[in-house]
Amino acid sequence: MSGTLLGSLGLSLLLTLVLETGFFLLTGKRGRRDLLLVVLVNVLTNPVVVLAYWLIVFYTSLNHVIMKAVLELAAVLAEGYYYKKYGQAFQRPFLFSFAANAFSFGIGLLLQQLL
Amino acid sequence: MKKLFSFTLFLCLVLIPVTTAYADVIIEPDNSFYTRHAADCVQVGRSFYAHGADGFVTVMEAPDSKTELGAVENDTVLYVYSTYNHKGTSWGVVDFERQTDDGDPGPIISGWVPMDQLQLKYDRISFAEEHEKEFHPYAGDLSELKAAEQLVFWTYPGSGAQAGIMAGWQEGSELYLETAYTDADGREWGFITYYYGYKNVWVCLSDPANESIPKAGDNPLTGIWQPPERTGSGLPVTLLVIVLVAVLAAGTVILIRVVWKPQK
Repeated sequence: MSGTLLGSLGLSLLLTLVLETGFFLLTGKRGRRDLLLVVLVNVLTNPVVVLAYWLIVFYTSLNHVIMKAVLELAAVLAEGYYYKKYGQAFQRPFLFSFAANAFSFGIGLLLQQLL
Repeated sequence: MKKLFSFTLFLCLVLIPVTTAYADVIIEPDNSFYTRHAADCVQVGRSFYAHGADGFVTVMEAPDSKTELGAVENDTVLYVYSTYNHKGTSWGVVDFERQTDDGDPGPIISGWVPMDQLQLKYDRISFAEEHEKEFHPYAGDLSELKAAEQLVFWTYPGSGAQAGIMAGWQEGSELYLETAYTDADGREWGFITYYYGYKNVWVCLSDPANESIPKAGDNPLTGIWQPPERTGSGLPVTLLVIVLVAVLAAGTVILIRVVWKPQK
């Protein structure tokens, strides 16, 4: 499973970057530095969140749904923090972070239906 | 949510084909915990007797769950598909018949029982482990089998349990007898890995058509089962992944600070 985990981390990061940068562009933002920030922030949060969730599922008896929500909230806050601190075109960084996650979740549901 | 969705999507794309491939050869239990942790389970595929301290074994929904699905009386035979190591305890996933509130037979469902509350039913693997040193290569030409009016297959020599009967030797067929064994009564047995759908069975070379070879008196009822080493997920590799992710995260934090370094 660990071998699978390593591959999963890589691919889930790739999919997240596609969704996240796609949302960034869809909101009309074009700044290269902001786009780079979106990429780096996701490189920072995505593997940590996925790995943490995986470890929780496999090694603890904690409620998976609650832990998933906690991890996602942490990711939203972390991303919002970086957008606020370093971003140029993020008027409401935490809202943007939350909306990006919601967008991805919506796309995810849609893809799940299609698959 | 996007991160976990992406992760889940990947698992679906990658693991579903694998599961399908397995399904061709392995019957898997219908249990959600098993489905989620199949990769960390160790296949067993052997029968055990229920052997709880209180005269029964409680079947749980999952190793990490407190939900009881039912109880199985001692000496009931349970087929253990796989085991899972949960915090140092080995659990086996089994099918059992869940009784209704009225005590009537109910549906067959899958659940988990601690392996230390089961006793291995002596089987061909137990026999092989016990008698391996007495095995010898088969040196014959299969003439005993080719001349037999029928072929009676047994689970293991002296088991008294038939694994099937075939209507004589199939002309033109090939059979490679790898291992032979001579029992206490002087009967020679041959081990068949595969022959016309029969897998891992024994045939009595001395008397291949005899359906009444008795159970050997000294064959035990139970065997010895050793739980596999902790499987978990391969901790050293997991640690490596943790270190890699930590390094990636730390490196990214540093990179962000360098790129967005305040102008002097």
